[in-house]
Amino acid sequence: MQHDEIQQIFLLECDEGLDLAERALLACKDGNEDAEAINSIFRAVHSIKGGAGAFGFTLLQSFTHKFETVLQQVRDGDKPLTPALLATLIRAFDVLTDHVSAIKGQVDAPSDGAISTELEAIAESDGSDAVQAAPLDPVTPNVAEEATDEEGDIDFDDLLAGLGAAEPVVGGHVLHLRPTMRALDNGSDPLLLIRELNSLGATVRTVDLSGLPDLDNFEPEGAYISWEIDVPASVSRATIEEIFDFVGEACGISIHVAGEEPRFTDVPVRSAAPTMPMVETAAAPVAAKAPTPAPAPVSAAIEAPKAVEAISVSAAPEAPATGPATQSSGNAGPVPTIRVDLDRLDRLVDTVGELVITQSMLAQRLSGAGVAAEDELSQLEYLTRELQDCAMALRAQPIRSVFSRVPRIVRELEAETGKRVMLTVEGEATELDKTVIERIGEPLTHLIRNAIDHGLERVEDRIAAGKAAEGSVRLSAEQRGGHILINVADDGRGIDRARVLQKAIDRKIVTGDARLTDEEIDNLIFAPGFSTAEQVSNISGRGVGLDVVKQAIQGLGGRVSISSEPGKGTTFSLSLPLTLAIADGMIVSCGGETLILPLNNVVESLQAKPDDLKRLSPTQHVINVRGSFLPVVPLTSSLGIGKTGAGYDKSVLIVVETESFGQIAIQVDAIQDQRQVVIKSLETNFRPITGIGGATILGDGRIALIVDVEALAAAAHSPRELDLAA
Amino acid sequence: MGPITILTVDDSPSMRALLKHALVGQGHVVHDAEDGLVALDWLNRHIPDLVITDINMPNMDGFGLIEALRNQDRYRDMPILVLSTESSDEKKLRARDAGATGWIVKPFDPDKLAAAVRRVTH
Repeated sequence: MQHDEIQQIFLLECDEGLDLAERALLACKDGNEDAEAINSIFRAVHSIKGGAGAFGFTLLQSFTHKFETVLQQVRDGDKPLTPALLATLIRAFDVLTDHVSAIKGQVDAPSDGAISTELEAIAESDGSDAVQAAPLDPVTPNVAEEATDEEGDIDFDDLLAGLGAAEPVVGGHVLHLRPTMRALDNGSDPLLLIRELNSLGATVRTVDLSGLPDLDNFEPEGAYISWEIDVPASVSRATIEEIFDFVGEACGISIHVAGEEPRFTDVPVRSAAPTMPMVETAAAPVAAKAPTPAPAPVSAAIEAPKAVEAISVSAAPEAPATGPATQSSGNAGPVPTIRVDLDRLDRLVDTVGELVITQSMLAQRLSGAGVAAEDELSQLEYLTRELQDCAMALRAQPIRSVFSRVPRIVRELEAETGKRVMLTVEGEATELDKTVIERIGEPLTHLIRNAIDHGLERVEDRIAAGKAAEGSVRLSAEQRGGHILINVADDGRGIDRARVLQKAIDRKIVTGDARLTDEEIDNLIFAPGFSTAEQVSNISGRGVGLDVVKQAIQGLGGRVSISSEPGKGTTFSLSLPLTLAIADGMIVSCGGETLILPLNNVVESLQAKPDDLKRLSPTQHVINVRGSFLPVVPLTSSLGIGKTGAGYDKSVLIVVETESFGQIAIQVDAIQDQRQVVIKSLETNFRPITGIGGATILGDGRIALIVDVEALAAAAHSPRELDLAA
Repeated sequence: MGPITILTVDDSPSMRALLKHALVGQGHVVHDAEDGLVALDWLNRHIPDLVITDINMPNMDGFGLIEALRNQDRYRDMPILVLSTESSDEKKLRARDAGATGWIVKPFDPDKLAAAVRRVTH
């Protein structure tokens, strides 16, 4: 695993830590302060500090240090968590969030001067001094640093040449080492230290066995032997001290320059407070460190997978959240998780998909051969479905991460528009595929902005209309069958259909004589280039319209619908698939080929009566479906398969909804079946083909292509012609 | 010194990854655990040459882990290094009383880590 990859893990860890800390802080704010909440904030900040140091993020490290100091005092009960202190902690948290964004390169490092000063002042106020009262050891501080410099200069060849010299090395040190009785406790061993000195060129001059008792009094685990060791001058005193610093109290040592009288004292290196043996490492960040000289590669090296992108897999389902404010610290604790390389997960999902296909192939083969294995087959089917559900669930994440950004957006919009908004959020625990989660943020933000900017009336208009001054925006998510339904509902003025229609006519999106239903008019706001705002505001009218939202959602295999009641409000509904790897498909045959139409595009299927068909040109037909004329697209000629297919009287027309071109009628020979298909990318496995969105393997082992309805419509028509049809 | 088996205990995945990167690079075999309890469970089934543990961890912290290990005969003499961002004498004394062999301060320098490992293992 490379340094960069580990850094990626650290960044993910920061996000998780911030998330936990935020929830715990909010729990405290709601009066649910408890020891575990404080402790989890402390641990999160502490952990970020550790990593910040390791990766050389000095600004982050220094800020987290100040933050942590105060948190530690609160945790240890030295500081009561007053509302004022909590407010400071929340502000410090916001700055910490900005620091983390800064190391990701998303923003500039925040100026944390004011909050840092505040934290320091709190840390130094009454009752906090006890922690830092212990006097610092006079020897320790600089040892490590000096040693670092020295170590780099050691010439091992010269040292080795001097090994075994019987005479004391001129100008060197003489080291007296006298371990205490308990020097061998806790896994310590003076022999290892002598060995290390030896590797630096030192030689043992004398061994003093006089401390050995007779056998009756001999304690096998006691230390009795003392040494006198010659250390060459090239080894600095600091290096020696560093080696023995580690042993601390366990050894009495003295170091003197060769030739001088030993000034042996029985005083340990650190005589002040009894201290822990320690190795102070220089605070040099790993990132800035030059490569270690030739580390021996080892065959047993454990090569971690290249986990640049990893997701956390929850080992336990999260408790459903009822709302943002009711989240108590009780369930804000860390759920046991394991990090899994996303590629591995996708491979699992893919393999399980193959398994499902193989299982249905086997079932077909067995029933064809007359083998009676109903029970076993249904058991196998049950298990593979179960396995598939589990595999899919691994990619699922709660939508909370997306929803949690909304309150901030709403606050900003309130400030910008002067409107007052009451936001209700429901179903944060609803889980969606990770990719969907990642791509749903932008469209959702757009809909929220749209609801507040266009949906809700100004305060005075609301009051005049007899409504509450505060407008309501309700954001919710829930699972409905195989789909996730996300609603953005406002209680605003509703869609002004007369104005929408006029605008659409002005912009030549529809013709002046078009007769449209309310629903069709509502859907005009999704048309490319449509904007209902009197003037382009900088809130929702950022040069993009709701068409972008619709495209994004359809790109995820989902659908957008809208329902509006004048004066009462508007609801946008997003219906999203649980997974992107599997889709419901309508299996059709056409020109001898088996093809799949994505079911979420299909509106209806019908058999054309000769009277309903109108010929526009020798190759172009339209069909009258309850008063609307839809272009007929024969799949055979569009995709260049088969010859002509059956005549209209023998074929089936499938009406599909497309994003940019409204409805079209696709002509196929027959409908075979309707089932879930595992989508395989054609682009990855072959090359992109216009009109084909992917491929799948059918139960009988044949490969079937999945039709890209959008591209088919685009290839067959120009928008203008289609507008006439609509 | 030949390759040894080391168990690292830290609740931070990036710290575990860093330690593993450094120690594997130095030729050792590294296992890791995310807290004291997971470490104890592993140590009930395996005996490494060295344990390097963090102090602040959920479920069971480093002090608890060291004490639990020193209470077992087979772990009475195994070297245990503490790796922590904390450097207060109070904490070090507590770790020493619990039975730690040595203390390394985070962030660690790979060379210093190697030296610390060398000083406690045969």
